[in-house]
Amino acid sequence: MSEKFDFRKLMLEIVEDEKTSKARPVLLTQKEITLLLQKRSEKQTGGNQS
Amino acid sequence: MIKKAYRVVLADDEVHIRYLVRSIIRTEGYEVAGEANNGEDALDLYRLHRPDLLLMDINLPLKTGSEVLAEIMQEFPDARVVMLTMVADVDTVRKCIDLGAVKYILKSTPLDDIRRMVREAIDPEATKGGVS
Amino acid sequence: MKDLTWDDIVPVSGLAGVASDRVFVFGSQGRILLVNQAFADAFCKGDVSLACGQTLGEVLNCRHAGVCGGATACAGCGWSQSADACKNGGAGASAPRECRILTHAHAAFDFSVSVLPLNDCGCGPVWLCGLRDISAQKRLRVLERAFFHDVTNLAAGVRGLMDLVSDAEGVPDKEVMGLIRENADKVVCEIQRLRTLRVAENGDLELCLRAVSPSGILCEAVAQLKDEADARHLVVTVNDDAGDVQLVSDHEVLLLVVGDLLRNAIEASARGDRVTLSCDVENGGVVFRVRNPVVLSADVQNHVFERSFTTRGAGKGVGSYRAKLLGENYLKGRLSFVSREQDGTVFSLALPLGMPSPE
Repeated sequence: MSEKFDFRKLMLEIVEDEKTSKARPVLLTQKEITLLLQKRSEKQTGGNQS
Repeated sequence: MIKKAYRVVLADDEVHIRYLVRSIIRTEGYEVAGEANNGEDALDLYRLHRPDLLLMDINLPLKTGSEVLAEIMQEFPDARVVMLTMVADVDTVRKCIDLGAVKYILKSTPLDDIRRMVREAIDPEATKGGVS
Repeated sequence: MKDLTWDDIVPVSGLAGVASDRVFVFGSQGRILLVNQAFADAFCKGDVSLACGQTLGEVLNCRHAGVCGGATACAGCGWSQSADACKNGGAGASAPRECRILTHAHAAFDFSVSVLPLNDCGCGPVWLCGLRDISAQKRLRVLERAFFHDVTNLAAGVRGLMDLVSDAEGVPDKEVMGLIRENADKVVCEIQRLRTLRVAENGDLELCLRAVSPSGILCEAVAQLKDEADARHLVVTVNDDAGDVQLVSDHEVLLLVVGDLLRNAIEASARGDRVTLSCDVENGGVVFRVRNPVVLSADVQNHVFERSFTTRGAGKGVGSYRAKLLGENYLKGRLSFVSREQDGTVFSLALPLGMPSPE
């Protein structure tokens, strides 16, 4: 079945593409990194350390 | 009570960073067991010295810090490795944490905080509330 | 067969006026049938009929346009890939692909390309292609990454060292002060290197011409990159056959160009490799050569001088492009390379001994 032209789809693709081309890596602060490490530690010990 | 002299290997390709880290290590009373300026040497030094801590950058020549971390954790599951880097993107941070880095420290962090985190990493039991 | 018009492209009839993106319609041979006004304004001096019958590569003056889609370099071209994907039976739109077109004039277009098959409009199979210009974003991103990565790294180190100084009692250690000074200088140097590129791209770079010693340039470049070479346990050899010859050039710009070539060679090399720098007097000029044993793949060779192309991680990569821009457009030289199994990779910068006097 031949695909009918879908202008809306084209515009959506362009918007998606714009997101990709403008995408920047998400940068973390030290505080955020420390939190990630804490979460991992809690997972490993199965609870809060006292 | 005799304080244990912890042995540290450090890896960074920047001269001034190695100077800084060396100073931190010595003022804490630890010993610098070896210094590397590339990833391959970092791995070799770890295997040679089996230090209490490896302090390592991510952007290293020949082999990246992430690659070295992966190899070390594979070979030495009890290894204590701290990433000390400017790389702050979430993917790299998560990757290193998942690989088993005990700390991930940004070089832009104030020196006192870096010192504290190194102390916590090298001996979490001795550090009060030593949550990594 | 009737002539295709935008009115035939239902419900696209409004597209030509509405869409700010450059769009065009092409047929099974890849030849353009229709363009919108935005496309014509950008590439055809406003004349919508100028592009008809040509391929996209021909309109943009792509250096491979003679065989649009047929040259080796075309295999990596997003436009070629998108068009092929659709023509080879893809019923839906192709996913947006990046398309990098390098023109004969060393301009680079960076597009995001989307291709859609259209209704049969009585003119055989046709496709709609939307071009999103991402050159500016890419350019800015490459610059930003390089700048922020390198400069932030240095600045963080300087701050750490300053903390050490402020913690210490008495007179600050000379070694620390030396390191602080060195890294502060490097910050300034990084800023200047990137600034030189931006200014050069705008055509505004003014050269400071004087007698320059090729031997001196080689020694300075090696000294600048000693740490990088040592970290990889490389052997850096200098073959200076230029003797006492001097050339009229801009010392800083020439050092930047040779430095970029050397940096690339160092970073491409494996542990323990030998990197060789040389300068020779040839054909009334001086030729600088930088050699390393690594051979570049065919795909890399095709893109080596492109602005946003890099084989390295984020934050790197403008060196070859900058060397070409500065070495050829400003220093009036010629930069080329050869990469093959028996020789490794050799970049050659051929410069005249004198520079044409500006009017």
